[in-house]
Amino acid sequence: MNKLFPFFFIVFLAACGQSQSNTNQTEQLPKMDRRTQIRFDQYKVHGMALYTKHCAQCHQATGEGLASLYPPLKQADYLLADLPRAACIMVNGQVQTIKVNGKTYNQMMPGIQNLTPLEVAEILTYVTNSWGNAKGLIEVKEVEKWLQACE
Amino acid sequence: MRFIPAFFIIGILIGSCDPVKNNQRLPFMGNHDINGADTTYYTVGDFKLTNQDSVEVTANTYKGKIYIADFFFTSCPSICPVMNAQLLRVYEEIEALPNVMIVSHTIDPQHDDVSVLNTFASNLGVKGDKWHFLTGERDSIYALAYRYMIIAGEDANAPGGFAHSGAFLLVDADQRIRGVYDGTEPKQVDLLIKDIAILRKEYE
Repeated sequence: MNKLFPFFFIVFLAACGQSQSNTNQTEQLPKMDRRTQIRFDQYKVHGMALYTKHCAQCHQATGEGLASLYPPLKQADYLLADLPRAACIMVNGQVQTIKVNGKTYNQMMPGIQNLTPLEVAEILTYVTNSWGNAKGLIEVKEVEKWLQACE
Repeated sequence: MRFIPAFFIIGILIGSCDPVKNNQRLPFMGNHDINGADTTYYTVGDFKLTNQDSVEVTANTYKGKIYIADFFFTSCPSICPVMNAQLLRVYEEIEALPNVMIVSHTIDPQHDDVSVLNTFASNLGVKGDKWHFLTGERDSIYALAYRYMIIAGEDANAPGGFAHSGAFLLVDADQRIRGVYDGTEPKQVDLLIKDIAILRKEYE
């Protein structure tokens, strides 16, 4: 038990550091250096503007979706389990029936073909780091790779 | 002395709390025919469409009912989801009120047939006969939109392929249009909810 104490202590310290900058995050953010942190903050700000413009009509500003029509993004297993898939859906849309947090959704989602990889990375960074989601910075280099590999 | 203005202001505030002033009356939209002492107001006129339960509806179906009309399509990527989220608020307000309904018309009847609208309604959480989703012949829907003073039609340049106004129309139990609201603006929809209460007083 005593051996575990320093471990818990560090976890608590880390949690304190988190709660100062991101109050409503339930998950732990990955550790970032200063430059990454600045980019992360920028992506989130731009991502929020893009989200409001392109996504919030259906998924709502709260990320909670609407009834059984539009699925939630807030702590959504379907989103968080596969970010490359999420990037592809954003750009190409989706017509198939999906299951999010145990609930079925079959409303078609239109894609936004003219989003740049950077914009996709910004939106993804915003949605995966809001409403309790905490995936950290989504790199534009990664997104470029993901988008090239879309089905 | 300093207290008097405060009481005065509080008095005004309390006075303005009254949700429905008794003498308040909603306007009548459209041209009026004035014939001596009689005024004939503009009405929407007849139509024949089908609702999400495959039941044929006409103007007569809604006679004696106050309803909110709008035009949308289920695959709409732009303003319709906002309109539907706002209409859902209205739906919750009117659910318990007798003789108040919502009537949504698809402007994409080719895709939005009865079964698509039925699924859409149930996914939205709509039960019973309080909110109708109507489909039918394309040209008659567009003509009806025009009679509701709404712009609706195919437009290759619009997102989703259809251009339409996001307006909600408040229609009284005699088919007269009594209010037009921007269905994408929550504040306008608050006003609509207030106006429904004002309109209901006319039929008490």
